[in-house]
Amino acid sequence: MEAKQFQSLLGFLLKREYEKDESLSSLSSLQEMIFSGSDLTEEFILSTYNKCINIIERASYSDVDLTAFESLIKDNDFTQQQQEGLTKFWKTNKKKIHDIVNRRTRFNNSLDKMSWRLDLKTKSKDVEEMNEPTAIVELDLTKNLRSSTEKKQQQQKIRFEMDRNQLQDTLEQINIIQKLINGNGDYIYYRPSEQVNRRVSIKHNTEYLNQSF
Amino acid sequence: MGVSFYNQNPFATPAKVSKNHRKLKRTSSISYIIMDKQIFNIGRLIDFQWKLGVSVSSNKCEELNTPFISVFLKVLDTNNQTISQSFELTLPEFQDFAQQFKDMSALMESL
Repeated sequence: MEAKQFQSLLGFLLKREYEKDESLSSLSSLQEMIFSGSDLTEEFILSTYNKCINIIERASYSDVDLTAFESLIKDNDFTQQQQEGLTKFWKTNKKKIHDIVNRRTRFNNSLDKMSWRLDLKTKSKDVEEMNEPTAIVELDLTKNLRSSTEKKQQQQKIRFEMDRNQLQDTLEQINIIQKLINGNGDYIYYRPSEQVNRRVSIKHNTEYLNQSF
Repeated sequence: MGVSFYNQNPFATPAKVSKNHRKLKRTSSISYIIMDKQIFNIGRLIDFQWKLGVSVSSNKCEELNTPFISVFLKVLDTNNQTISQSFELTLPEFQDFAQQFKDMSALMESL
């Protein structure tokens, strides 16, 4: 198998197994697309393909780094050329595969799209004059159910408006999250004591702080 | 209800609330007019809760170690019904989400 063909095989594998490209669902297209005109047997191509899947699944299971990956493929009977190809593949696609694997076990809804618009309310039926800016936000959510037939029904939109104060309050929360992500653990939380519902909510929001990552 | 309803949300600190109240008293008596007259809107955000966590392992990967942000929203729709929805964001998705709010806020300040 030529180096170029092996690279294409790995590219096919990434598209079919991870990116779930539906046009590649049949394995026979592998032979048509990459190995047409070559004298390699279908059996040989499939066994190489399966060997590659196997090694990549093992590598992604342990999320191994490049050095560990190199020693992992050394233990399997890949040719020198294939080893180089696989190393190159892992180097470029490790993060992508990790992200895809992570996303597959997301059971909560995901946010597909966010659209917003700023309006200035000027007049209404009962109010002669007002000058209130308002932010209208629309969020497109998708429920992560595995069944593809239900997919269409599982999309949902939420629309809401925020006035200046609401937007500021929400942004303040977002800034807190960003500070936490950036590792500013010294962010001081105010824990109000006079209102039970506040205390519970803020405790809920901070209970993950103790985890280090 | 209305504007002040959101100000009593769980995440506003008392300092912030009182600041807002002062601000409301001082500048936006118009807000109260609007509230009294019940101007319709397409839904009002009444709660924004979040959780920051780390996915540790799964059946497909023992070394996931990926942070995520869960967001829980409560919206009061036009029929006065509360809708609750939650969703999960990866870090890059969250950064994008955050940026949109920042853009919105910056533009609103200029209004």
